[in-house]
Amino acid sequence: MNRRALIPEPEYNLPTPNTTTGVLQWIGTIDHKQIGIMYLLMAFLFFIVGGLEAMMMRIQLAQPGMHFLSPHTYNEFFTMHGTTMIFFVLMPTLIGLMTYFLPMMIGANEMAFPRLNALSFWVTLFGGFLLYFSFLAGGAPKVGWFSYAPLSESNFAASAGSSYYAVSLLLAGIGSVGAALNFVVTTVWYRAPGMSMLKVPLFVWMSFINSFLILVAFPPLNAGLAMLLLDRLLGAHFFAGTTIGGAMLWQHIFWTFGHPEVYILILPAFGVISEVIPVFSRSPIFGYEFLAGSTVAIALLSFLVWVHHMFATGLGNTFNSFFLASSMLIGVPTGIKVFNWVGTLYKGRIHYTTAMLFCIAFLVDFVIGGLSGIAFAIVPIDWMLTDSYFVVAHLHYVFLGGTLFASWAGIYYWFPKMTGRMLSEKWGKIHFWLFVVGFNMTFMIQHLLGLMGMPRRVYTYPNLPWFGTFNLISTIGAFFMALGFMAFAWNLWISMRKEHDAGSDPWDAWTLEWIATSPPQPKTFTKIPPIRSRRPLWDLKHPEKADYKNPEVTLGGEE
Amino acid sequence: MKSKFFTQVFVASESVFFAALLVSYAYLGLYKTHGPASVQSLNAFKTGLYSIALFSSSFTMWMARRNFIKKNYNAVKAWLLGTIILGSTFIFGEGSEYIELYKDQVTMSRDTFGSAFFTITGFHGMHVTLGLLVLCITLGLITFGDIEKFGISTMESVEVYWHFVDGVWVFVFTVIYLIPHII
Amino acid sequence: MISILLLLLDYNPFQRVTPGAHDIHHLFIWFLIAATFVFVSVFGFMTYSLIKYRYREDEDYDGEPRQIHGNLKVETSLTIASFALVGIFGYLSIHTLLKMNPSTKNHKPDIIITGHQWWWEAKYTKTGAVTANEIHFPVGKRMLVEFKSADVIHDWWVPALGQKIDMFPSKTTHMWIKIEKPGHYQGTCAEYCGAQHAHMRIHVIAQSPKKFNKWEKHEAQPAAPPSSRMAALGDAVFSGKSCGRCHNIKGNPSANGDVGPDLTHIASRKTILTFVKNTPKNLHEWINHPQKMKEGAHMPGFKFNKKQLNAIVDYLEGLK
Repeated sequence: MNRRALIPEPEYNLPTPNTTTGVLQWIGTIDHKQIGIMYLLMAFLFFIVGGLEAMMMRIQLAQPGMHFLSPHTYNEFFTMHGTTMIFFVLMPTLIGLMTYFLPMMIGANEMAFPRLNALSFWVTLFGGFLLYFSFLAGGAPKVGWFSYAPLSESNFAASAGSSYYAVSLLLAGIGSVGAALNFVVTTVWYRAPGMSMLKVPLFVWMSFINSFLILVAFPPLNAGLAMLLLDRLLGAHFFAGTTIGGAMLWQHIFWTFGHPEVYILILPAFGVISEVIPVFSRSPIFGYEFLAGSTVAIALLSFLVWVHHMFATGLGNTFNSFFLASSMLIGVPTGIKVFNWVGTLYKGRIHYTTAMLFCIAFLVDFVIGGLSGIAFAIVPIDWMLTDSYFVVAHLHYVFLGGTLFASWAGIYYWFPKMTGRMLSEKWGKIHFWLFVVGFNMTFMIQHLLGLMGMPRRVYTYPNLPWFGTFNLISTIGAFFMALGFMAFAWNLWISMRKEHDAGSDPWDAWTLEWIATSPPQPKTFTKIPPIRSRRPLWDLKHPEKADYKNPEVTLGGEE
Repeated sequence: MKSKFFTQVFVASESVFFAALLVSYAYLGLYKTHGPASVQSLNAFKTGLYSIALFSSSFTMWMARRNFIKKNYNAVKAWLLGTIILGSTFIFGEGSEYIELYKDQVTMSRDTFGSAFFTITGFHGMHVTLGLLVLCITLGLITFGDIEKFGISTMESVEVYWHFVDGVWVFVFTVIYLIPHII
Repeated sequence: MISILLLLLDYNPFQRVTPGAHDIHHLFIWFLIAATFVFVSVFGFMTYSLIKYRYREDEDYDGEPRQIHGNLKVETSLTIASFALVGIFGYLSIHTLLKMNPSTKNHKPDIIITGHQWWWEAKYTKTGAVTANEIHFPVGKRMLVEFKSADVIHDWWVPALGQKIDMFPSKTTHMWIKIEKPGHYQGTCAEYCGAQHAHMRIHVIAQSPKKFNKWEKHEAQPAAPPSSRMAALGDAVFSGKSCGRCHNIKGNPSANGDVGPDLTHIASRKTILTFVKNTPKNLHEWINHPQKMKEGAHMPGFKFNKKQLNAIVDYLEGLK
């Protein structure tokens, strides 16, 4: 099969915009680099909104019995906060980074379907706007981000909010599936000559496998949302309280999506970590094959664990035992990855850039989140702690400690490439310390609150001993995080006003994107070096110690 | 080349969507409220005839693609037309079935069977209709357009999509029309 | 870890008074030990690497460090160790799970608890007594509790009693509860169920079997007739203003609704609305302006004048 051009060229001329700069050009662009940046901007904006929602919630919870937010508003906020952060902050951040860098890392000048790429972005953005429009249309959804039935049916959730939720997530889902399709086809067909699958960077591996997860996990969500809309708008009875099995059906469908979704949110983050740690340890990633292989294991297993979100629903001992076992098993491949990342540090030469600091924070905080997650695999412990603040602590440790910190590592690492300027290391460190200290202050203590009996999704709590104090500590941490984020925003602002001072390879890194100029030309590559190992630039810079000359390095199949 | 692969992956993803709907149908069917009475309103024989039309359209589509590769463009147009006619027959059949059911008071809001039945067949019908649209565009492009620009991969993509639509119907027909008579 | 510290303090929320709660606690302690061990070893090693192998300007610059790509032996042994740890915990956990959840087939439930938005209904099958929000248990006896919901999904969680269980509108769930010590154990609904999910507190009162039987017998009795003129007036207002459409008062023929809590013995309860002290003042405020006390509650806002209000409160306060 001749799917190898010497340098991947478009098969036909892409339509050229009438202008080359300006907002209109950005709106009409189909260049993957610009679309990637738009995804990141979208995530930034929604992060501010979702973050403000969180701040308001934490203020309401600072002391027992506060009346800062009414119960209805609080319930809208916690629903919107979760939905926003997952679908309109974390997904776009990761998809944005993948959109920008996946083609570059495999030496491609564009994605397989550039117009689909643009469509995916705009549909996702529209979904986000639609979700927030619900505030003006009778009320935002207030049934939680997983919208359990029958609470989300029209007799219990009368406002249009839940319908907006469903449509908005359908749109976001279409965007994600479109992006995933693009990633899969691009990775399979557009790799530079010589780059076999076993030579692609780990970021590409994780993105590729992640795309399959998206393609298989989103359809059940779409089915569930469609059925929910039909219930709410056309009087169907899928999830009605009177339907025997209805409430359980929703949960099964949702978590069949929901569990792979959390892996969708973490795999690209794993990819970023796998790129950044080696560069700042000056040593290749430890155990490439195990990292790639364990990702496949995680992807397959992720479809076999969904019931661990339903251990308290009375499904019976057999069911629960099976999913106990599968949920514990899925911790093993992730553990292997952690060993490998830590192993990369060993005998390296570590540079404490902001990107590296976020990697370290990721390692610590994501592992804490992972360990608290394993607690939930143990069914009796889950029976005590599910739906309490212990879960809230766990999920924030993996989402922020995992996905968000890794995303920031990626942004600090790749910002020079995307914009041609270096982010200020001084403000980066201020951002880092403020946010990480605040984060741990807010969420570590929530483990205790859960153990003490505080349930989740409550707009207030009784004045039991220590509840008020711990919640107050948690709220104060949120303010530190807000300050940290402001430092980040300030960093972006001042750095964008600098001259292009980064150069194409400020970190002395080893993957293909660092050949391109900073920022890259519209046509990224005109020439690429021969690809004989996983680190083409290392081979170029150190011909005597090239990877492909090193018998220790297993290169996988030639192509 | 990449188009065919794209369509295959896309179609695999959509199949999971239909699988989720069918599993929901089966799950709700395990409970009494599903109502055996509703399932009895279905006429498996009549729908079976229309299904044969759909299955035959897969054959005509296959022939269309084969002739395209051999560059017999007139044959392609004929086979494509046949596919469109057979596909439309199927849609017509589905429509008439919906009307019959409505006359029998089986609607989406009557019970879980009604909800699930109309949802699954409705989404399938939507996919068929979309496919018919694509087929018409294809026929139009081949008749009036620049044939040289219309690659083999694109034709194969259309074929993959049409077989998918057909394949889904095999499952839907089996689960909804045939299995209740067996169990 | 902080949790161990607090466990050492004899802290009320960490009470454990059922066999199930003890089982969970033991499992959790073992888990904490294992997790701490993993955490300390991995991050001990990481901290060591971060410090020892940090970039130092003053070293002889010999370019890049030795490029280590992997180590099959290390990888395999760590993988096997992980599987072993998972295997051990998997076995322990499944063993505990089976122990905590024996079959409930062929056993009749002793108490049927139904969750409503946003209150609890408890029916004692032996005597047919029905009460709300304050649920009494006998100490030392293993009770089978059946759970269901009248509307959306709720969840019964009393931490001192161990596990939680969801409650559904169209299926029943069950739990064995055997409380070892008398006391007042607080819990909460633990599945978001709408506006006042935060105020769906549970009050479990565990008593000696003798006291419990006395209580249950009393609950099964019809309500005491009104003892004063005001209370009698209150009875009339209650019946006349359709309160009985939602509330049940045994012995009052016009009060047989099941949408709201059973009020037959409301005066004997320590709380109302699940989270507020049961005082005449609070009852006043609740009936006069429900949305102020529990915004979103399904209790309608009646327009009573002062006399009617006082009368109703007097009547209810007499329902001991």
